[in-house]
Amino acid sequence: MDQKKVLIFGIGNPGRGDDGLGPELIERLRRDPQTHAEFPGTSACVCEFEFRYQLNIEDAFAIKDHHLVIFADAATTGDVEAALTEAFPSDVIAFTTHRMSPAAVLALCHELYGRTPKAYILSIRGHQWDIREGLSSRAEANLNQALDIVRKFLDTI
Amino acid sequence: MGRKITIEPITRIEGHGKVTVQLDDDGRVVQSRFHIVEFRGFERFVQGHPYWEAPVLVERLCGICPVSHHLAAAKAVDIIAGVGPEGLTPTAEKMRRLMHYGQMFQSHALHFFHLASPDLLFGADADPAIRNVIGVALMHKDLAVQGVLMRKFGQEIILATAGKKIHGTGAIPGGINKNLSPEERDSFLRGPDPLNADKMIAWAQTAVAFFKDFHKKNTGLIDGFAAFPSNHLSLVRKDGALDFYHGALRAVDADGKRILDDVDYRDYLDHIGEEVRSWSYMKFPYLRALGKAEGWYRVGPLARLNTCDFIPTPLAQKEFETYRAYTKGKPNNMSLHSHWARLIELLHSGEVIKQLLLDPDLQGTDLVRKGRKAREGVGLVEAPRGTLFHHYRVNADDQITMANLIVSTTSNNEPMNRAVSWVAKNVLDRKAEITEGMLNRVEIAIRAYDPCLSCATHALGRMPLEVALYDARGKLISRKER
Repeated sequence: MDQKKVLIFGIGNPGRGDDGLGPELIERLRRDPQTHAEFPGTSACVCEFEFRYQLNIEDAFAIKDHHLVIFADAATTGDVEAALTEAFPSDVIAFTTHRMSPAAVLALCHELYGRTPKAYILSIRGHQWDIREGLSSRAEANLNQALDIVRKFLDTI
Repeated sequence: MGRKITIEPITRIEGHGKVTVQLDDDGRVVQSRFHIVEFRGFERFVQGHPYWEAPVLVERLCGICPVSHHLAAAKAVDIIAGVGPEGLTPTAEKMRRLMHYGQMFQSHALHFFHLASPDLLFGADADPAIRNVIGVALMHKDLAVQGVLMRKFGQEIILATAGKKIHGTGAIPGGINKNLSPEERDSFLRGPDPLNADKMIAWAQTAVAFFKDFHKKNTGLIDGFAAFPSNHLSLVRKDGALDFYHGALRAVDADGKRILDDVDYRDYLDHIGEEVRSWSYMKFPYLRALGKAEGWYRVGPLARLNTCDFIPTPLAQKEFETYRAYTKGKPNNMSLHSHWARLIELLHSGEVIKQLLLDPDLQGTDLVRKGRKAREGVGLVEAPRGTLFHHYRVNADDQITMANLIVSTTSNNEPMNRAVSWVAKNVLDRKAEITEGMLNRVEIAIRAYDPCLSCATHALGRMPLEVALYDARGKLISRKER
């Protein structure tokens, strides 16, 4: 079976409450047999997971050989608890080095390596950002929705 | 009617900050300030935790330079665990050094290729849509590729020494929790091009040469922009060598006269004070010997190459001699020469990484020492951005009761304000129109210090981005938020 290489980034700071949503998502996916890389022959895709405080220039190198990339990060605004939207490289970049946006990483990958993987942003709504570890109960519920979305999406690959 | 011009956020530096320039009715600059808008809270957060957790907890401070905090905290808790600053096993110290120099390498590479090079390559007046790393990739692809891979190489060194690229657990009280396997060593020494130590050193040399060439063609800009005299502080090795991991405190004034020399950093409170000012959450450290008004100082690459006597690796030492000769052996007080100094340090870091990789002590198995416990510990390292202070006290139950951190960017608070004032007076003063290029010059001045505002304010995560314009009476005229 021709397996597709999938890279899932969990982005955020677990020391800042719900900013840890992205990293927590990939931790749970790591333990999930559906995405477990030890069973590559049973799946149409093999998943790798990377934790990031924020994306940076070397992530253009990290994504270049993957078929699909998902950027999972907490959202500070909006009514939707969890959503998966397609991401595209962008010429018009306005970013700080505190983090590069997924669009900027995709654009840099395209410029340096001549290709970009299919990419999605998994946005998970968070509510508390204090200096502490652990998710709020609302964020925990949203995380479960996000996990459901990712699992169903990977099933379609 | 006077105008207050606000630039917020400052692009391409970690965290967020606000610059405010106050003009009078004639358009003359009467005041400029660099504000930090987030609140410090991390020192309180660590209280109550057992001291051995400090090296990992403090990494939550910042996703840009977690290794620096990890090692500074580790050096402090070494003392609490009863192991003095020079008491580690050879394997433990050299593993920590490899971790630290890997961090320096990737951090300096990131700063130059991602932050500074767009300004140098395209100029302050270039279209913002191009004046970024994507623009560098479009117009100077080889430079961008090198920047990405130099970052990756440094990150892999950190992974091999700390156990993880982020939230590494390598340094523990009294030592280290792993050595470097022969396979790991060989992957860095003999990895396929370009991911090996020799290629990294060669690229660092190219970067230094690039800057020197740029300097020759733009001497007026590089020498004159935001140049002002200051004191300088860093750690130096006992013999005066540049050393990022350990040493004694030395401070020199703008002419090179020593204000502090061979000071045990555990006594830092006797020599360094911190002033609070009402308009910023970030403190203003100063040398007590000179007082609050005159005692402010710079830290970081410019300061380090002013305080040290030599660099103990041959290629970087050769570049250092050229660099020092430019100011005839006197301290360099030109802000944009920070980039030159940073690239010499990048080269030095590459050379040290190779030296350490060739040292068989890294495969040693004696990793930890223990001793008689103490109730207090201070740890300093030279982080990429400058001297980093970590200080903890513990109670009888080994819980942290006090934490004091002075991060590099805090020490550079006053220098950054001076740089902003220079630009305000020389670029913004009495101009009929404020252009994007003028505003970018303010940011260029700040970016030379490579500030990490997340560290300085112990903030990480989302912050509202605000642009505010006030009239001479402080009334809000216009405001934008992202």
